Amino acid sequence: MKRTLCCTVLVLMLFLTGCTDRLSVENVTFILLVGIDVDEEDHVVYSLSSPVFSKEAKKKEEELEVRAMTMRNARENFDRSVVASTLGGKVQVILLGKRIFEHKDWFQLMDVFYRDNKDTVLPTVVLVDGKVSDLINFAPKDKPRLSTYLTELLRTSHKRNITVNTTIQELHRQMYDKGITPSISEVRKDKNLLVMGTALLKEDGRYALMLDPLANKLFSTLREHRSGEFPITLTMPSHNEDSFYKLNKLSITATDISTKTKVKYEDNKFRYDIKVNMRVTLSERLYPINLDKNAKKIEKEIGEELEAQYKLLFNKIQTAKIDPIGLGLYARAKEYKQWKKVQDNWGEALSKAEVNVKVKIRIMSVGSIN
Amino acid sequence: MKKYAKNEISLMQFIFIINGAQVGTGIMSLSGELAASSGTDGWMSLIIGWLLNLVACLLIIQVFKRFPDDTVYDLLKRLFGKWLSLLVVIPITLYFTIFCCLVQIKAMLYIKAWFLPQTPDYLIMFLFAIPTYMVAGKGLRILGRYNELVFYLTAWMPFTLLFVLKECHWLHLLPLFKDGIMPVIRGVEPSIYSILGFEVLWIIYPFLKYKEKATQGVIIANSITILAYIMATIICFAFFSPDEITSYHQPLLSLLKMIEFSFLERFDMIFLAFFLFVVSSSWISFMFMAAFGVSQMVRKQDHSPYVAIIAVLIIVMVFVIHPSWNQANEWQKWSSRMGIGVAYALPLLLWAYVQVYIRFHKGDTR
Amino acid sequence: MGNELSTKLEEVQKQFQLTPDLVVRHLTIQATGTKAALVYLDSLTDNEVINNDIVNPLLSEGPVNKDEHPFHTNVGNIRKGTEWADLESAILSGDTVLLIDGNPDAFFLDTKGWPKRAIEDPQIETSLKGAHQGFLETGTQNIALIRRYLPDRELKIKELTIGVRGKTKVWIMYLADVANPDLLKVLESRLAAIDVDSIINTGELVEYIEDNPYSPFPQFILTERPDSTVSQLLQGRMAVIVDCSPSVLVAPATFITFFQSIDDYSTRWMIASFIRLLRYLAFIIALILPATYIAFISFNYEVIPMQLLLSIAESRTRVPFPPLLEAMLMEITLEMMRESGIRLPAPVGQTVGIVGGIIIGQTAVQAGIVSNIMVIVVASTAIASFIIPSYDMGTAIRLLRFPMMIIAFMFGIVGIIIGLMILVAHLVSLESLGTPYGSPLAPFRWSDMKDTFVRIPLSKMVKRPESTSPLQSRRGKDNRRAGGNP
Repeated sequence: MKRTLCCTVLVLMLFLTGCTDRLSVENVTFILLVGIDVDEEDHVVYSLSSPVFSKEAKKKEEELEVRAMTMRNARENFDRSVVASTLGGKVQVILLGKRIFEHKDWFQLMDVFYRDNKDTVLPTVVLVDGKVSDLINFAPKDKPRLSTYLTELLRTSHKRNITVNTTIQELHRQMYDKGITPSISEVRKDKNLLVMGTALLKEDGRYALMLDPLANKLFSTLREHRSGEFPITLTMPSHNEDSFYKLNKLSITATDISTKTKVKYEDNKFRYDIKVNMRVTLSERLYPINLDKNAKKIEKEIGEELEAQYKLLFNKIQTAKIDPIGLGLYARAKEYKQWKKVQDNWGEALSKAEVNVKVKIRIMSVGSIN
Repeated sequence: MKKYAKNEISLMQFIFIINGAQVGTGIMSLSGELAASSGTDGWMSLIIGWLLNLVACLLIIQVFKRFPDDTVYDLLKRLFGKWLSLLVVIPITLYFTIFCCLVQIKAMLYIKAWFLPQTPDYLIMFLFAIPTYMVAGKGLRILGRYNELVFYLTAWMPFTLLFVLKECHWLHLLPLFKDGIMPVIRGVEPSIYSILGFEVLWIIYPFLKYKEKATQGVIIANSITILAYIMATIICFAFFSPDEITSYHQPLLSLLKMIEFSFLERFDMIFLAFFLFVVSSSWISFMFMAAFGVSQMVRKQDHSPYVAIIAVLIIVMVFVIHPSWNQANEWQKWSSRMGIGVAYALPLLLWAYVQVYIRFHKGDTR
Repeated sequence: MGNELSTKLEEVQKQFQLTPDLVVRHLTIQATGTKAALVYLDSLTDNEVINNDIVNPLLSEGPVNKDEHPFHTNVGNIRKGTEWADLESAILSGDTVLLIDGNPDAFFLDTKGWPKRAIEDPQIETSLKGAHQGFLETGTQNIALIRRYLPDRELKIKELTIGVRGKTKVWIMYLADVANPDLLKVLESRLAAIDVDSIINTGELVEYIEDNPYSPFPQFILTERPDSTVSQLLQGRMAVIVDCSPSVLVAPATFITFFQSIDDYSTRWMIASFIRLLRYLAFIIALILPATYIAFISFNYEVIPMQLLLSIAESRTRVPFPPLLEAMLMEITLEMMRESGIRLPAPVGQTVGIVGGIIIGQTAVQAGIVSNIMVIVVASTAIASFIIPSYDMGTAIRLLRFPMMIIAFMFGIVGIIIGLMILVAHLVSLESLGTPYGSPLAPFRWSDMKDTFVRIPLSKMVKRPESTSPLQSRRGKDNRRAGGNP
């Protein structure tokens, strides 16, 4: 009898106190897009966008832009205007205005995404060339919800290797690791959304330069985790371009790429020997040449052209004193003693390094015509 | 003669009680702590820890070889007499109680951080207490079955880590021994909390049905534990940059956040929820040991009321103190030190003493 | 009892007052010329047997072997008794009592005969390929059904009587060289300890002898199929047949025995294995799917992928109830429908189906009472809970779903895990006749795995399950030599 009474009291206690964390899904507003920007008066502006479920509402989402102290603070402001309490666990894309990258230490603004256990680390980080507010209020009639549209757009363009796909988890790694500098997608909104390419940042987070789609493809081939397709169109200098249509073009799709990176410390500098093996299919050829007979020659020509492109890429990277590929990781793994000396100034050290890229091409198929 | 024959456990249960007691909340933060103390070579410290564990286990088995039907309580009473033995017995029991309490508190803190931030902490502890009483109150055989079943139910969990393999940077692990051997040895200390647990051997040894398999049992149990730890640690090291990993409190959970399926996101939450099963087998094992210890000290046969008493005491303690992460970490350090005493020093001392004791009492023992 | 016939009959009349079906027939035994009387209950006896095999021979002349019986009869089963109590129980169990003047003994002639139904298909445990014979209400016939499968002298039967008034006959059947004698002893002592008026049904008997009456889980198998009973006997289990009850109790049981069905052994092993796995999946779905739904939409939405979350949230906005109430509403409606379906005669039963389809269907969603997803959850839970072959286990799971839902509503996914933890703790501490219920998982038995989650080809399944601790572990030809491994 006593025991039953005790149990009843305990169960009642559970019922009375156990429900404080509950919040039904319909009473929650999910933030899908987060924007951070600096306005004309040098204030940090946060913008948030979340979907609206109600049938009566005409617009698919609600947006808010506030000057706030922090991200959390902005969320509280958001709570003041939306119908349900806001939740950050479903953020899809984080948009960062270009002006953010004029100053260092902006990365600290992202603290809440890493600290809050309820938040996810998978949203993609995007640099917006222009104002974030223009983009976040963008509601094209022929496109789905902006968040869906943006994620799909970034996903497909990453699949085509037009840009990288940097989640905030990856960004954290790139910001903290001394052997790599951050690289994020760059978009621009003119009339439509347009993926520009990849923005490379300096070690401290400031903007360094942008890689156009072709450079990004080459850049992506050198990174550790490759994925997607690599359609590349090259201009072959060995053929004249006197035709009106500039017919010295050749397109390939690299299907199978393997790279081997060797690092040595010689003559007070690092030396990188990167071997790139590509198996390609030829998908377009505008100038006349017999592909069946000259396969070896073309392979060599493509290889040389790509090597020249790689050289350009490394020139850009080395002059900017950045290391978006993560060559520092190789230095740390293979030449740890030397690395330790320069690890805090790795960009500097890499700019002095000698980088040789050797490309070997094998054409696997030329398509149905000669 | 055999006073524990009624509750005999099989070799499998023996293995899973040790393994269950070892694997608790430690694995979540282990890789971060190892990285802080010894960089990316930290996983090698675990191998040293494994060897240490094996030595300690074998010493305990050697101690018991002459007294196969004794728990540590019977043994100490035999060696030192009723009152003198209390000097050792009380700290051991206290240690088991503290460890049980600590594991529960840590699990509660994880749950509060990830799932139920507003729910009162004592309520979560009360929820824990129900299965604890149901298992630990019943006896060692039920505990063995519980730990066994939990092991099978959660055996899939380490394999989910393989989903992040494609995001790993194996270059992070190189070079091996980058700063020499010293950091590796330094890494043993932070891993102690995670690899402790085999000291339940002090109590469960006489219950084992086939004593000759004890050595095999402890080797398997420790190897399973260390393998799981090494796997988790290496994957964490390969995933996170060595420069960033120390900024995470629980690298393993942060890593699991990356896993995403088309039907399920935030895999860390599912993982943590299921991991509660694994953690429960740890605190329930310690709870049994603590209650058994108390019942031995007050010379009662039935240990189940003490399970209830200890559980209530822990709830009351949480209700009064409301432990925080920092406090729990501080306690973890202290209890690890206690653990070194119970799990590594005591076997050595007792073993030495028993060698001497046998010389002098040749006729008395069997 | 006395010698005088008239005093004896007077005593009988006194004992059986207000018993209109009691028949007393006076006659003279021709062979010896002594007066005698037949006493029997008209309702419990076979009149033809009495007329042809008792009365006729009694009235015929001829020498009698006095050592045996002082009369002629064609009935084979004759007992003697001298006590009034014996006489009473004999009459009440359908025997005919022959009282002879001047003879202190009463003779009990077996003339049992009462209304019986024909053998039918089992009602609850239907099977596709198994035999179409179900147990009946007559214990002896049930024994016959089993014996037909196992003409083995090692098939032993122990008879017991339970109940002070009912005096229900109970038989324990087992294979003496397979079943573990310790378990038999436990079973016998538990049966002997029962102190009741009467046992009406096997289900009642179970409550008196099970290990933990406070558990929702069935600890013994109740079956109405002779073939599955025989298959269990061969695995080293024991069957308890209760007279007047069409279900037979099989002990000891483990958790997984409730997921096995006789059809598993008659379909191809790959298909049988697939169906086994499907049942375990169904078990999990039936147990935690509604709870998981509640937990996910009221605590842990982070776990649901974006697109799905948006559509769930959209359909939830129209529902004015909290998730628990929504789920309870549907689940309870479903349970009511199931229960009413059992009691109703088949033609009316269809109406329930149609009405139920309306309630658990699009109309409920359109009315804004439940959300789309909830309907899917409830419907799949219902289907899942009916897949489990054992009715008792199915109901246990259906019941457990409700506490799971409540705890999920209070603590979300942590609540579900705690609930499962309690369930696991309960299952590992549960025992059936003192053998672990969680076997072969906890304690783990590798050789039993062949018939647990999958069913491997029968030719590879040479050993009997260890969870029954049989005397001989091998099946088939060599077993007599390999025996004796408890």
